[in-house]
Amino acid sequence: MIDRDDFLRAQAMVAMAIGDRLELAGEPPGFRGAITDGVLVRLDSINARFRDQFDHLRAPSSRRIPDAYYADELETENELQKVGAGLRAALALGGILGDPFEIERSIAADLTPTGVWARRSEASRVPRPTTRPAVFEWSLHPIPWVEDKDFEWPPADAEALTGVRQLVGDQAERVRVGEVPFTDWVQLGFVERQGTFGTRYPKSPGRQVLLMSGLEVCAGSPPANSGPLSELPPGLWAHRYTDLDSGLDQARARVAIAASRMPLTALVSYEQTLGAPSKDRGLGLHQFCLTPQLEIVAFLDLRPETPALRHVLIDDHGPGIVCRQWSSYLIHGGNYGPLEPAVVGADLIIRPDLFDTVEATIGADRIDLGLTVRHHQGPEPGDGPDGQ
Amino acid sequence: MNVWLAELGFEDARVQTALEELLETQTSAADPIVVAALRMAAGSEWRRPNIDLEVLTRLQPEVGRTSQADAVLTSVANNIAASYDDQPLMYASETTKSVATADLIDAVVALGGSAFAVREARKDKDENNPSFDRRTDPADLLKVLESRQRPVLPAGRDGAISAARDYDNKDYRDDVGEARWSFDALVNAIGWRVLETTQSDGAEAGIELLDDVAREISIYSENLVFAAVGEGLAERCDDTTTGVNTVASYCLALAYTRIRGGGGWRNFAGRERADLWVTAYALDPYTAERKLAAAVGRTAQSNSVAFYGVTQAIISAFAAQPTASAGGTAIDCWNAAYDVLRVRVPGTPARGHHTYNPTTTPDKFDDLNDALATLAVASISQGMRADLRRALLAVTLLLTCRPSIAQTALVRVLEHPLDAARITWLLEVVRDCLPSGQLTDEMAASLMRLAQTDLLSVRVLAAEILAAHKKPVPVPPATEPAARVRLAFSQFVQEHE
Repeated sequence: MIDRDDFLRAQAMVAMAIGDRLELAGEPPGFRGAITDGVLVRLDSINARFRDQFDHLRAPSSRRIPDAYYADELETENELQKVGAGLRAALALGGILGDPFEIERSIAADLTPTGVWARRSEASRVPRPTTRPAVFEWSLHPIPWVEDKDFEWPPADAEALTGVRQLVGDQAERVRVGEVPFTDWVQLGFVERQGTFGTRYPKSPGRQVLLMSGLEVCAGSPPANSGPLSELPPGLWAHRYTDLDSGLDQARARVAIAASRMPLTALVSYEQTLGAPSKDRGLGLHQFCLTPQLEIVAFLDLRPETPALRHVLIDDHGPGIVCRQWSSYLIHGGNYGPLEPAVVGADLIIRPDLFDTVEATIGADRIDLGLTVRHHQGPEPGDGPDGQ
Repeated sequence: MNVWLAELGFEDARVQTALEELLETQTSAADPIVVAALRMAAGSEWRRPNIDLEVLTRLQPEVGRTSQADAVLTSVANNIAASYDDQPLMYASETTKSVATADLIDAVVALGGSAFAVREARKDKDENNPSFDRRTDPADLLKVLESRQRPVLPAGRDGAISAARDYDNKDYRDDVGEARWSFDALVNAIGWRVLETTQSDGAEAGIELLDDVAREISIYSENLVFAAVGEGLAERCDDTTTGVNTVASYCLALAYTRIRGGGGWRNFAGRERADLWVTAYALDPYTAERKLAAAVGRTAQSNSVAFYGVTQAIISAFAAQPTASAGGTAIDCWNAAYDVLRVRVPGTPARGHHTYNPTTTPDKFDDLNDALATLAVASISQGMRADLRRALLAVTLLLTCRPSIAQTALVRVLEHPLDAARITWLLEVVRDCLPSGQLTDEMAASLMRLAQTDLLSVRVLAAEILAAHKKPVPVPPATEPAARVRLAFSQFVQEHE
């Protein structure tokens, strides 16, 4: 007799660990059930091990979950790969035969728990750079409200920029990188989030400031409810643009960027990416990653490195566009641990000569510096009732 | 490495300590790439500017060989530099707070990494520091006045007891420099009275007075007064007929059992003050022994908290000065305790778990590199996602710059039963980074085995690598499908026919 609660727990475990991947793979028939069965018979031992790991890693009484790869995910993954390995035989029994390598490769393409994006992210980590628009200068001092007991929330600088969507005049100047080895490169896009967790003693709510900026082509005021960064899959960092859009070449890209109205930078969304990489699963990911628009890469004829280990696009003269990622300064939720970064961010920078080419093609006066600043205090969505 | 791989997803303090020790001792000896990989594996909570500087400086000659290697070296330099960003902004006692140095930043830049500003460590405020000075409070004026004068003490026994009782009122904030709390005055007040009683009424009266005083002083306060009184008495016992030596011995043994060791955590004064016992024993073995035995007996009858530290203290004392009576050496204590300890200690206590056989010649250089590289690769067993990502960056560095050492290490690690995801992640690095034509036979054999496991992603990747390096690829075995999948697929096929 199977306990109904246990069954639901096993189901939830499978959905949490590999649900996205099964959905991406189009829910192969019988998979979810078979994996749930496999997890269910060992549910107690998996849970016990998970709890041991959890107790081992976290600080006593801390309510935050350390960002680790736990036994529940590990065991579910093992089940998935075992069930996946049986699929070829199941197909054969159903009368579907073919090249065994070909069949397995095509099944595995969707189901492999790929680590390449996490690795790229880690290889692109840098010490937090100072490069950012002049109006964000104040944000260089991280989470000032933590130390300063008299700090008035919200930060006045953030408050002043809330609702400002574009900068004009001197403030809209191109942001140039100050650090070697990218001195004088132009920053196409920038995103940084600073946040603290709510604590019970002393009682204080969780707080966050989100900063985004990016160059954009608007020809007029930007569309309502838009941001300075759009959203794209990460493919450009791993594949040549011709592999992503076979119809695209430099000439077409030139036409496209000369006429288009868009942000030049996009936040990377891994949602539809093979292997469903996620911040909270497998190897995890850095919170933010940026990518240039496809047309810009095509127009400049940039390509990833071989092998594509970092977020770097090159041409024959070396790196041309680079995404730098950072996670800095450690904080905790009032229980001395686990320590988590208070500041996470990324920027996208381009070599000056390439930027000049892009600027000349689009028209310097059509490129504006857009921004979005938000601040928030109180429980985050998905947190406990008191925001911890 | 075995310890690490035995428990996937757990940290292990032993491995961490060994790894840090190796980084500190082998950084200049081993292959620079291997050391850098080991540094990446050291986890997010470890960084040491001087060692990082050496690691990065030694990587310098590796720059410029291939563009792939340069890219990885830059990533590693940036990542090590970025570890100096992990600076706590809130009070966190166990986290390293070391900051980067200018030399270190130069070394990062020399490898193609980013320059950065030094992140200063947060200054820890002293949380115990009282936020106001109590003496500036007018209500405490009386206390200020009081603290400047000594209490009036009656002569004889009553005076000694009053002095002890008064001193026990001392608050830890009270200034020992003030007349009221003068330690010397306390020792004089008690010591001379004990000496007087002993000389007039005999040793037993002296001991009785010491016991009376001891009752007035909390065992959790310092109790140093007994050591000082004992030493004072010991200096004044040239004449053994009066019994002062007996009282001094008793007083020092009393001090040894009352003063708390280990910074106050342990009962008995422990190894730090074994000298008290040695002096007490020299003055009068019989009295010292009896006093110690009585204190141990009382502890054994009291609550369980009081045991803590007593065994250690007794063994330390006997190691410094064994007793004449039977069973009074440190070894005897160990032997007597063995039957109890063997039940309490986890695992099976036995000598000969591991015998260290020193080698006659130094280890071969290659062995050192292989061992350190294996340890770096084995860091894939860790639990925290950030550590796992760094472990893979270490493997990337090894495979790109030292393919042969990397494969030796990978083969050793892959012999252990890892989970599907960890093997997949490792094999993905092999697929992406192993230079063409560099696949070793040993690694090929390992891949042959992995290409026939019952884990889909593992066998597909292993086959892919073998094919890419033009090696024979075994046909994947026909793994028995799960009943549900077989059923679902036969329905699926029927519906689509």
